[in-house]
Amino acid sequence: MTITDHIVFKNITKKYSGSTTLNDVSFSIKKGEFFSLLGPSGCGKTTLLRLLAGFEKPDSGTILLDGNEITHITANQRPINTVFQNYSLFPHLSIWENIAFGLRIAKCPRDEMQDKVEKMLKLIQMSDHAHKMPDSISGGQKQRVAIARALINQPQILLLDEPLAALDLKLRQKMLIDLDRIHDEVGITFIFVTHDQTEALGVSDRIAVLQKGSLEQIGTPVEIYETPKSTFVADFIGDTNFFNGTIVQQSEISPVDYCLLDIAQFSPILCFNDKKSIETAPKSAVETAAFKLKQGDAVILSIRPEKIQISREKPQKNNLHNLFSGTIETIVYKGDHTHFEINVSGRKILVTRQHRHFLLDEVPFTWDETVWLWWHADDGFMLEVTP
Amino acid sequence: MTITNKEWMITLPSLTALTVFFVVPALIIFAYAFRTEGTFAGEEPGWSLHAIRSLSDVNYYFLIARTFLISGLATIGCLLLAIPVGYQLAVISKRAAKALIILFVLPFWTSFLIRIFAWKILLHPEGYIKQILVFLHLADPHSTLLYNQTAVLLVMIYTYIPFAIFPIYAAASKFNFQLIEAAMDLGASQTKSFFKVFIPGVSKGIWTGALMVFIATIGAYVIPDLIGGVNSEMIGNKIAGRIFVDQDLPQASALSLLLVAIVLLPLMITTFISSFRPKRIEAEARNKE
Repeated sequence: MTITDHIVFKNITKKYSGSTTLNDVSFSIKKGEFFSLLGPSGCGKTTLLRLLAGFEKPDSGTILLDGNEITHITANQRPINTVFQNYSLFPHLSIWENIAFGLRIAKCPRDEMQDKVEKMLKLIQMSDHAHKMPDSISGGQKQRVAIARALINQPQILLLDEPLAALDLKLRQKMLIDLDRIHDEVGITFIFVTHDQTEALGVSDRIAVLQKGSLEQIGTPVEIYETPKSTFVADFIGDTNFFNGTIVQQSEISPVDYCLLDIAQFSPILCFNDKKSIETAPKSAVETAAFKLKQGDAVILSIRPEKIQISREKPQKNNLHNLFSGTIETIVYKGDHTHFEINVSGRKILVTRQHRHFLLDEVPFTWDETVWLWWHADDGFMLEVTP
Repeated sequence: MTITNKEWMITLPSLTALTVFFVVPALIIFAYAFRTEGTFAGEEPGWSLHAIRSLSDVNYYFLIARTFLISGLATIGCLLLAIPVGYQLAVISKRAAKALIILFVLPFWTSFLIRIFAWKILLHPEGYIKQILVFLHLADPHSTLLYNQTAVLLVMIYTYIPFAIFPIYAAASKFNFQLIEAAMDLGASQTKSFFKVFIPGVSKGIWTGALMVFIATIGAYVIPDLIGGVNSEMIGNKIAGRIFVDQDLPQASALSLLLVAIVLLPLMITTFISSFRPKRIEAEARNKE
C-alpha cells in the first residue's frame, strides 16, 4: 500500500447471519479513478459499497481514506456520497429541493445554495425541470438528479450502486457516456457497482471482479478481458470456449513461449505460455492465478469466440495456427456480427464473426456446412483448474 | 346495457343505504333544529330559529372550547405515541409486526364499556395506579386521579390510539427506508432524517390518523360521562343532557349540527392541504427569479 492510495480496504470480512458476504478482501483505489466493482448478484459488491458509504460496519478489517481510518465513522460524517440503485429521490421535494437537500442540512447560505444548485442543474442538463416533482420525470432524468444530489456536497468519492439497472438499453448507453463526462468534469473518484460487464468495460479505469465474497481479479478493462486470471473471470466477462486439457510437452516451435495441450477427442492445441515468467514477476496479493506449468499438468484452455476465424477454404498453413474442420450447427445473425456454434469432433465451439463488409455480397454460411476454423496460438490462454 | 347503467347498478345499493341511514336521519336532525321548543319539554308546532340562536350562549363557547381542547390534546397525544410505534412496526420483521398488531386489536374484542370501567377501577382512589403512585411518593394520598380532564384525556388516548397507529403503520410500511439512508448519506443525522424524510413520507397516514382520532373524540360522550367530572363536560354530554334530561330535541339537534360543522372543518382543511404543495410553489417562484 503506497501513500498515493486514496481508499484502502484491508482484510475486510463481513458476515450476515452466519453466511459470509465478504471474505478477507483487500485492495486499494487511486484518487480520481473510475473504479468498477463487477460480479454476479450476491458476490458482495453492494456490501463493499455500503461499507464504504458507512451504512454497514465490517466484522473485521479496516477502511482507510487518504491514510485515515474511517471504518467506524457514520455515513453522515464521511466525504462520500451515494447514487442509489432506485435513485431514492425524496418524493415530497421538488427536483430543486432534492438537489439542495445536502446544502440545507449543511446550513448553506441562500445565495450560495442558489448558485450551487443552478450549477448542478446545468451540469446534468435539467435546468428546465427544477420545479418538477420526482414522480413526474423520466427514469433517466431521475438518474441525473440523483447524481446531482450526491455531487452537491462536493464529496471526495461518488458511489454508484447499479445506477443504470432500471433504464432501457439505449438510455443506458447514453447515461454511460454522461457519467463519463461528469466524471471528467468533477474529477473525483467514482466507484461504480454493476453486474453488467459491458457497462464496466465501457467506462472504468480499473475493474475489480468479485465472486462469492472474494476478489477474483483487479485490472484495466483490457487486462480483465484479454488476460483473465481465472475461469470465473473468463466466463463472466464475455463469451469464451473452455477446453480441459493436459500439457503434453513443450512445443518444438518455441519451447519457452508455447506449449502443446492434449485435449480429449481432439488433436493437440498449441497455446502461448504466459505462465513461464510468473516466478520472476513480483507477486501481488490479488494475483491468485500465479502458477507454473509442468508437463502433465491439467489446465483449462480458454479461447474467445471472436478470436476464431471461420472460412470455407482451407487457409494457408501456419505453424502458430490451430486449425480444425467442423460442421455448422447454429447460426444466429445479430446485425453487426453472427454467432456460430460449430461441431468439431463432437464438441461445440462458439465462433463470432464480425461483419466489416456488405454481407449480401457474400455467399452465406448455411447449416450443416463443413467449414474450417483456426486461431493463432497467442489468442488462447491457459487457466488453472479450480477444484 | 351501457357502461353508465352498469355503474349505476353497482352504485345503487350503497347509495340507497347511504341515503336511508345517513342522509335522511341527518335531514331529520337538521329539520328538528328549526322546530319551536316547548315551554318545559318537547316541541310545539311551527318553526323557529330559537334553538339555533341559543348556540351563541356564552356557556356554549366554553363548552366548544373545552371540547376542542380535549379532543385536540387527545389527537396530539395519540399521534405522538403512534408515530414512533408506526415507525418501529415498519422497521421490525413482518412476523413481529403482525403479532404486535394483534395485541393492539385485542382490546377491541372486549366491550368498550368494560374497558372504561376497568380504567375506573385502576384510577379509583383505592385503585392500583393510585396506590403505586402514592407508594412512590409521586401522588398526594388525598388527590384524586379520577373525574378530571387528565383522566378523560388518558382514557381517550388509550381508546383511540389504534385509529392513529393503523393509518400511520400503513403509510410507514409503504415508506422506502432507503430514503433515510439517502438523507444520512447527504449529511443528515438520524433525527434530522427522521423529521425531514420519514415524517413527510408518512404525512398522509398522520393526517388520516389525526382525523380519525379527532372525529371520534370530538363527539365523545361515554368517556367524559364516566371518567370525567363536571369540568370535563363535552358537546356530546350536553347533547345527551338536552335529550334525556331537558327533552329538548330542537336544542339537541342544533348542537348536533354544530358538531357536524366542527367535524367537517378539519376534513376540509385536509382536502385543502393535500391539494396545495407549498414546496412546489416555492421552487416555482424561485425558478422565475
